[in-house]
Amino acid sequence: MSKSSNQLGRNTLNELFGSKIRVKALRFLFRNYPENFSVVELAKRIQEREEAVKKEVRSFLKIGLIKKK
Amino acid sequence: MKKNKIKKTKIKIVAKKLHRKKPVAKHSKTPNRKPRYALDPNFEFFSELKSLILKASPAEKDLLIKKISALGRIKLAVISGIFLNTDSASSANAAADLFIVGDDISRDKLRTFLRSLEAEIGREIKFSLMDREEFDYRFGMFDRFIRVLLEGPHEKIINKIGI
Repeated sequence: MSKSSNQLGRNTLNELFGSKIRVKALRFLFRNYPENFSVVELAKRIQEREEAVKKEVRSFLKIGLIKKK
Repeated sequence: MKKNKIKKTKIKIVAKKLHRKKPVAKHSKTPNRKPRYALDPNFEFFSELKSLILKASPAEKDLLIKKISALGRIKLAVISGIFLNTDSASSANAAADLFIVGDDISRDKLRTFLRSLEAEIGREIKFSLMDREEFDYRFGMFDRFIRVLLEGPHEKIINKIGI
C-alpha cells in the first residue's frame, strides 16, 4: 500500500483485460470465492447488464476459470 | 342429449391444449434450475490472477478520498479490513472496513456512495459513521469500537483532527 509502489489503477486493469465488466466480475468472484452465483445474481451485485455479464461468464467458462456448480 | 356431447368434446380439446402448453411455459421460465458458477481453483493462473485482480492501488485510494470528501464536512476517514487485506479471512476480523467522522453528511449521497462502492469492491462493506461530537466523546472514553479499529491494521485516509 506504499505510495511509491506502481500505479496499477483500475483503468489499467480495464484496459489490459479489455473490459470493465470483465474486471468487475473477476474482482467480485475472487472476493467472494468460493461462493457460487447465477448470472442474474452476478449482474445484480456488480450492477451491470445481465446480457453483458452472461458474455463474460461464457468466456470464463471456456478457458476453465470458472466451473458450473 | 346431442348438445351435451358436443360440449364434452370441446372441453376435451381445450384440456389437451392446456396440457400441451404447460410444459413449454415451465421450461422457458426454469424456476430454480439456473446454472451457478464459481471460480475453479484448478485454473492454471488462479493465484496470479487473484493477486493481480485484488491488488489495491494508490490511484484507487485517491478516488475514494475524493468521493468521501464530497459527502459532507469530513473530519476523519479510516480504512481497514477489506481495503487493506486481499485475503478474506483476516479482513473479516476488522471492526469496520470504512469509518467516517463528519458533520452535515447527506444521507442520500452516502447511500449512493456505499452502494456503488459495494458493487465496485464486490462485497458488503462494514461501515460506521459518527458526528464529530460523538467521536470526541467516544475517543475520550476509550470506546471499545474505536480502540479496536485504531489499534488494529488501518489507515487514516482523511485526518483533519490530528489523531
